[in-house]
Amino acid sequence: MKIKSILLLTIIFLMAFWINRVYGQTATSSPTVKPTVTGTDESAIQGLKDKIADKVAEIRKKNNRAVAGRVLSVSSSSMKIKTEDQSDFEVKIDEALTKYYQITGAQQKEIDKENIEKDDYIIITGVISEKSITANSIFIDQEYFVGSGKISEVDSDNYTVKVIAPDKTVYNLSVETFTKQQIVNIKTLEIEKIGFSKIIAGDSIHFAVKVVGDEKNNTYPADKLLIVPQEYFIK
Amino acid sequence: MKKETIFAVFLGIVFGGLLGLFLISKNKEIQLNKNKVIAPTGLNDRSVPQTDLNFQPLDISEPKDSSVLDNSSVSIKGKATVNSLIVIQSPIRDMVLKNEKQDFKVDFPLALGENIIRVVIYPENKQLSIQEKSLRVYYLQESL
Repeated sequence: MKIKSILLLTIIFLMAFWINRVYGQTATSSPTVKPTVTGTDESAIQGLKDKIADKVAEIRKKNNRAVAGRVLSVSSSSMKIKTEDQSDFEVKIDEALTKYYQITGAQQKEIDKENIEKDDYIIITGVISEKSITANSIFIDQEYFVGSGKISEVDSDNYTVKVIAPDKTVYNLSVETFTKQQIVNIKTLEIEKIGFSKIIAGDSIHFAVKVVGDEKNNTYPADKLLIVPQEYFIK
Repeated sequence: MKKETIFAVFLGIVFGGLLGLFLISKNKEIQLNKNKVIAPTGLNDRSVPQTDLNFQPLDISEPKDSSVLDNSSVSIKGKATVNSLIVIQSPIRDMVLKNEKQDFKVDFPLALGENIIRVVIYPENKQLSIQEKSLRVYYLQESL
């Protein structure tokens, strides 16, 4: 009987002690002393802020990708473009964050969203998610096409060249006064300027053309031609 | 029937069965060896169209397609079959070189905006096919 009473008392005592500790903790949990920020703390906080800002910029830069295409439609919050591989892409616009630029040669100037029209060729930077991009910046640019193949026909009367690409696509290139015509010297591998008469059927050709968007039958005025003469391959 | 007789019959069945199985498996083996294989051998070799031992498919490790850069030039790094004629072209620049090693690296200028860079490889061995790759790299000045 005595032992039982002692055991009961011990349990009650231990429970009372535990409850007291819990209440004690609650009572002392609120701070009583206000922290004082010293000069060194401030500089440490600023350093930490800078580090976080750098890290955020680094992550944004890392995730920053680009996609380009021709504008199909423009609305207040989005645009639709058709990319080079003929797939549709949605461009999500943030009224507050998205910036707009026009690229002309080596210059870039900021423009308004209203300057972007249907059929413009635009580059969009931002975070790509499947078939949509959240735009950081949008740039109006000149579209180019760069290709290569073998010359199948040279028309000396009309100054045109027919090229068959490796995928069997046929390109009709017209040589204009502004066209830069060049050839690879097969001995030195230097690039040299040439005239139209040096372009021969059977040569390999590399070309760059400006794309306007309304071309038919893959006919382009050539911006630049680089010939690799067939003699290179039979030497 | 005596116990010995039953035991002898049992042993006979067991040995007979084993001998039968052995003969069947041996017969199959002989038949397989006698048959001529009609299917061509060396299928693995056929899947590789390029037969030159030094053949290296064109691989461009840098820059990545669709990458956005804030420099006016980029380092193009890649691998190609040794002694190939490499033509690198963009709307603003053409470069022609021959690679003495598989790895090649060139500094290539970029125009502001989109840069389509086309790399074409003409291997020295004319039996190897011409290879090409196009990259789109964007040199843009934007504040992130």
